[in-house]
Amino acid sequence: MELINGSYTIQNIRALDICAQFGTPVYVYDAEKIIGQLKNLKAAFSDADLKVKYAAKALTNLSILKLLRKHGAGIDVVSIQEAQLALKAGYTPAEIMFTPNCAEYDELKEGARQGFMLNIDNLPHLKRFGEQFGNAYPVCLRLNPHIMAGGNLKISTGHSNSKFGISVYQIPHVMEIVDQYKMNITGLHIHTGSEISEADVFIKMAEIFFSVAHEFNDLKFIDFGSGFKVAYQDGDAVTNVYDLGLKLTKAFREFCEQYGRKLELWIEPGKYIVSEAGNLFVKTTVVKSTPSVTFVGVNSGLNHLIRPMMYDAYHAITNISNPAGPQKTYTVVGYICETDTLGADRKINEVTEGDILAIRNAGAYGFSMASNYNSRLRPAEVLVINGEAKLIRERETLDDLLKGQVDIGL
Amino acid sequence: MLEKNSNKGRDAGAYGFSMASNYNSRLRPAEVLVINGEAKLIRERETLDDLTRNQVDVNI
Repeated sequence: MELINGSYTIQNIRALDICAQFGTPVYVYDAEKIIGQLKNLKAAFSDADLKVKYAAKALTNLSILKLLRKHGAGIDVVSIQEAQLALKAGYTPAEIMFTPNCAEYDELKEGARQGFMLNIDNLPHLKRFGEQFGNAYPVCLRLNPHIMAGGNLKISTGHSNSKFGISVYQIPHVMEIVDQYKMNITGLHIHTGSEISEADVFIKMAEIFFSVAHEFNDLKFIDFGSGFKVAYQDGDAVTNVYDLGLKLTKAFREFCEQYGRKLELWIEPGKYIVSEAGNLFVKTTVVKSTPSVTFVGVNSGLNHLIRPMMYDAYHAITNISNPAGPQKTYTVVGYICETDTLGADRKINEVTEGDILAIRNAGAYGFSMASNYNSRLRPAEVLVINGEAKLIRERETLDDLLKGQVDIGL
Repeated sequence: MLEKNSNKGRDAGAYGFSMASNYNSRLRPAEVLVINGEAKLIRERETLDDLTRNQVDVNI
């Protein structure tokens, strides 16, 4: 979204016009931005055999999945339902990386029946899969480097209580199972964690894993996950993907030479691709002054965007109805009946009732985490593509809250 | 659900389903009410259709 001649616009369409057409609250995604981010990654890793597996959990609307497939991305899914959505969006089973965590074993079995690449992240399921499929179905292993991350790697997910992946300390157990059932391990997935801004941290992690990779003779790819950080506010450290691409590609090529085979380099970006492309537009319901704070109430809240309350995440907030107004300090709050702060102590151009605010960087983990709390309806979603704003999900109605309920004649 | 010699339940009745989401494209669970000694379904488990029903197919 850009400020052009005093109006916020997306692909030359006034954001206020989009809100007038589709109503608020509404999630609006800019297809050009999404494609631009995907292209950045491809350019950054141009010297590697790169496969981008979009982490669908960030934003799962079928139109977004189709858009990314059209532009050459594969897909990473975390549930059998997400895999079904990927198939609906046109992905072939082979393009789908399925990474369930603590899901029922039957989901892996179903994934094998469908022909997905399976990413197994615990020993009991690895053993069951080995018993059942032997070497007939190649799989990827999700490894967790936590205990090797050491003190100098400042990665919070590196802690030893993380539920993700198979600990690299358990490689001997892995090899026991792999040897017993003659399993074909075709890929390694490296769980690094999210929001890693320094390329050097990635490289260090990669080097640890290259040493583990030598245990496996038949690898076709190594999946570095993601965790590329985007800016949520001015001054945020971000991942320089070009720097990362250069350094990681170089280290990866050296590894491939030692390994004796060219491997594919996979990444699984979600937030990097869709976060900045999305805005949640909301309407000001009330400007409420107390002796200490001026609150701006809006017709949305943690039911539509839970990140501020759940993660203390910062989302910039812009008054698109009054871009030239004097800046004042506000605390923007949602309409949910509990503490529901979208942004505290923000300098925002003067807000009056009815003004439309944009909650920025709302493309990732916005709609996908939305609920019906307080029996509020989930918002519409709009994709701006080829200079046109298109509705890609209708706003819910009361029927959506009642559907599925069974009247038992009380 | 009560344990012997305890009146402590599991307390998932309040702010459980009402705050549930479809994150990870997971389906929201069924709800059952036990009444007059009978277990009755009061909300069906979601299906994939519930995730896609309101989506609009556009030419990408």
